[in-house]
Amino acid sequence: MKAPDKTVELLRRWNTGDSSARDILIEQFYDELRILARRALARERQDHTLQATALVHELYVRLFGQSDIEIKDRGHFFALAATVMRRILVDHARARLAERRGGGAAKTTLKDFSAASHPDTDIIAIDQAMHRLEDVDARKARVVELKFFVGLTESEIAEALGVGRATVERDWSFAKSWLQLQLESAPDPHAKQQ
Amino acid sequence: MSDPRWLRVEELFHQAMSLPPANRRPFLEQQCAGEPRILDAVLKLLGVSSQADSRFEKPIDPPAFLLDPSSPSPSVSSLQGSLLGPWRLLKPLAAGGMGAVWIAERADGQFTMAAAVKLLRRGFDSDDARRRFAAERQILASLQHPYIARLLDGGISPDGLPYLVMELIDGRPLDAHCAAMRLDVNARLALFRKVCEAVRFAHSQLIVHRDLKPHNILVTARGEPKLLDFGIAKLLDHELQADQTSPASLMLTPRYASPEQALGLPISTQSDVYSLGVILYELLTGQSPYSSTQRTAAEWFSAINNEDAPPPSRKAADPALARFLSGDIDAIVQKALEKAASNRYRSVEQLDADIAAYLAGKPVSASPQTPLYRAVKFARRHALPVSATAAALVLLLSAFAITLYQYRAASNERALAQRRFTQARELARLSLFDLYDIVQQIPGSTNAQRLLVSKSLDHYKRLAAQAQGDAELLAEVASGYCRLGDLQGNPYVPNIGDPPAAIETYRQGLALLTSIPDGLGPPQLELARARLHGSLGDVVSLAGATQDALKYLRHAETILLAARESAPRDTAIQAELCSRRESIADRLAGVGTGVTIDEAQAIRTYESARAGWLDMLTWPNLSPEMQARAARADAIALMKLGNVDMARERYTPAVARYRDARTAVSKLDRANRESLSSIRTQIMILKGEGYALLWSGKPIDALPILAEGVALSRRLLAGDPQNEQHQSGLTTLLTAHGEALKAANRPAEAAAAWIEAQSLSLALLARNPNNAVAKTRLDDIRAKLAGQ
Repeated sequence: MKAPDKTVELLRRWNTGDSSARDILIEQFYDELRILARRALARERQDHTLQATALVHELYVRLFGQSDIEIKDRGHFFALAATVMRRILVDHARARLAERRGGGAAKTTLKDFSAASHPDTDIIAIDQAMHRLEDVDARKARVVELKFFVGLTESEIAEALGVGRATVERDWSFAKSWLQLQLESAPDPHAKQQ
Repeated sequence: MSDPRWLRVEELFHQAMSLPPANRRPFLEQQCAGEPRILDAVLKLLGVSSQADSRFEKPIDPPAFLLDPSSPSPSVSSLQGSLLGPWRLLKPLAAGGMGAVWIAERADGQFTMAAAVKLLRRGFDSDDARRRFAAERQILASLQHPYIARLLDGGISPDGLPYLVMELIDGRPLDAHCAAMRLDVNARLALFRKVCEAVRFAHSQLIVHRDLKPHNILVTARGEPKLLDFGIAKLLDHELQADQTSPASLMLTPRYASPEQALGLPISTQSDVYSLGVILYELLTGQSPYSSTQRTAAEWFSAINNEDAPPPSRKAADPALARFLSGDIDAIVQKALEKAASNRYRSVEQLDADIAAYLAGKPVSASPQTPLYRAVKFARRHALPVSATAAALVLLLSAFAITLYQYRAASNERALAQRRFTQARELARLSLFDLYDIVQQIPGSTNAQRLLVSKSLDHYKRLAAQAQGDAELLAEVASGYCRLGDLQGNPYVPNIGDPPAAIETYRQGLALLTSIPDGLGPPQLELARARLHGSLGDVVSLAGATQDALKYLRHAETILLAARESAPRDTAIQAELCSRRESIADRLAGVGTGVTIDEAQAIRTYESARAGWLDMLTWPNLSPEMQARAARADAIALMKLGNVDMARERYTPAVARYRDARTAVSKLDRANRESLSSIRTQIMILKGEGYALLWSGKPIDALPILAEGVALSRRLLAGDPQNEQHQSGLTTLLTAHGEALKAANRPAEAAAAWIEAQSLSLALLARNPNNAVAKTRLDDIRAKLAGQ
């Protein structure tokens, strides 16, 4: 079985509720994304902009290349890649925060890229709020992952999730205000209940 | 999504958003009559929408930390308890760029054994890759050394992921160990040497580490290093290269990578030398050799290729430490960190040897090898119990003072032997290479030179006994023998006129080098060897053995051509090569013997010597001494080409050559023009030009030329009456002048010149009966006097 076939097969198994397939994919995506990120950074000597979306797209090309995969599977791929990317970012923000609180000097090898646009505390708070969002509206959580943690366009998200573009725009518009509200009233765990 | 209130809030939110801001509240109040909580929720959401827009405008920036190999993989914990072959994974130990590491135990009950299992993240999908993995694993398993963590087992997991089982090491990373134990610089160097030993051993098995860093070097409680992950980077490289787009360097730790690794160029054992250099730098200074702003792999790689590491002493925070590091340690670390592998230590062994030399207080190869440096090392090594200022003064006074001091300070026999050896080396160097150059320029110093030679020879004989196995010292001793032989009897330099002693000295020098086959020593050793052969050629040709001389000279030429390959633009080698070609041409043209062997080849060889000198004159940063030497050598070659024309009775072109030669000499600055060797050159040119004019029927034109030659010759001999060469030179010029005088119808003056020449020749032959030149000349003069 060739690598793309294997990945497609795993995507399908996951789709039919096989969570072990999801674990294997997460592991695989995690590794692949790291390699892609390093390669991208090694390439870009001056310009440090390295976009998560480019990485995920590259990951897609790397895994599937020119091979024909069903749109449904393609959607699964992006959804899962976005989940992995979110996890990567949040895990890292936590680790860095813990390191700082532990009083240790920041490791020189850890470049705090996200600090520029989004502080670690923000990322962790957004992640927590998204857990609640998943409970009430899982699709919006997927949209946020694809939009905010990966940076796909609305059309790409629509394709990935198999919904219309207008739906994505509405989900995004609402979800970000909702998240913003959660962040402003973070200490109140019942904020979502109006 | 089942919450109807949620759907209602969202619907109202979108409707309100589509209205102009001013109309939103009235619209909502109307829609939410009797639903105050819904109204409140929608209004709050609308109220934060602009903040939300700005907060979420841009996606989170890229996860650059992906570069950090220590950030853990999220799902490793799912592997807990699983089996890989006979190994059960117990708990994760660490996660590295190559994969997660687990503590494991043997689960087949054969024996209890804990190990570290490294799961490589990359799959080895093809059969080919699996075979390669198995083959490499075999090689790594054979790498057994007390300082290297052993590879115990390995295989491919059912999921297709390769794994390696390694000796479990209980230790701290090298840098953490040094910090925790508060090791001083010498202790750190001693520990580092053990690391070198392990790497050197692996290199001898043709295994390059490729990813040396403090975290791959654990130090056990007993203070012994254990190197991890030998050769594993290479296993992964194959896979990455198979994937075409990834530079092989992606997996390694950029901070310790060599320039060639950063550029994706082929890797050699010298790449490990570089990584060791970075590790040593950090161990000594606590800082990276590069400016601390680098964070990303790209920035590291750029710095590795473009930034020159400042000497460690400049990075040391503590001034006392800075003083300690400056000098040898700076030189050693910087040589390990040379960007071009060709300038770096050739091997870990050389790096280690320099550290060992430093620790023992001996001269370090990375430091400039001046006599003063060696004298300083010499004094430091023996820790003169005097104040620093006094010690410095003693050093600057002379090496002789130190020697005397040493004899008094020597406390036991072994120390005495060691010190005598060092002292002999220092003294021999100083006397020969510094004093000789000065003394030989002083007219009338023949006796002083003779004394210097016999004293130096004593020193060198003592040194030679201990130089075997030390190529650098051998080269030094051999070139010392050569200089001594030249001084004893090489006709091409001022000498004390003892050719048999010279030949004996050259042969002794060559005998020292027989342990190293021709062409296989370092350039300086080969240069010394070539000089010995060349000088031997010069001296035996003086005794009339032209064919033997050619053999020696051609051998010297071959050695020098090989040495030039390994050290291009080395002025000493180039100069020696040109000189030797000139000697070969001399033999072919019959210089001194009057027997031409191959005129055409002689001319070609002179021209190739000239071309070599003229080429060297175009080299940048050529020293003034070498410039003068090359210009003078060119003049000499021109003169000799004139001599070849003369032998074929081509007088007009000969006169032109000599005039060119005189022009070349006149271009030298005054000091160089007036030097001993330049005066000798001028005399020979004048002689040639005089004869050319004389034999082309222009004795009147020849007279002033030859008279000037005689005058210059007298001036030389008057300054140094015992000098054989000056005697020989004056004989020649007097003979020539006599002929011109006779041709100009001044026979009495001619006879006076010849009689003086005859007595000088007799004196020369009395000292060396085999002097073919003097013999020929005496016969010639006698014939002339007889014909009067």
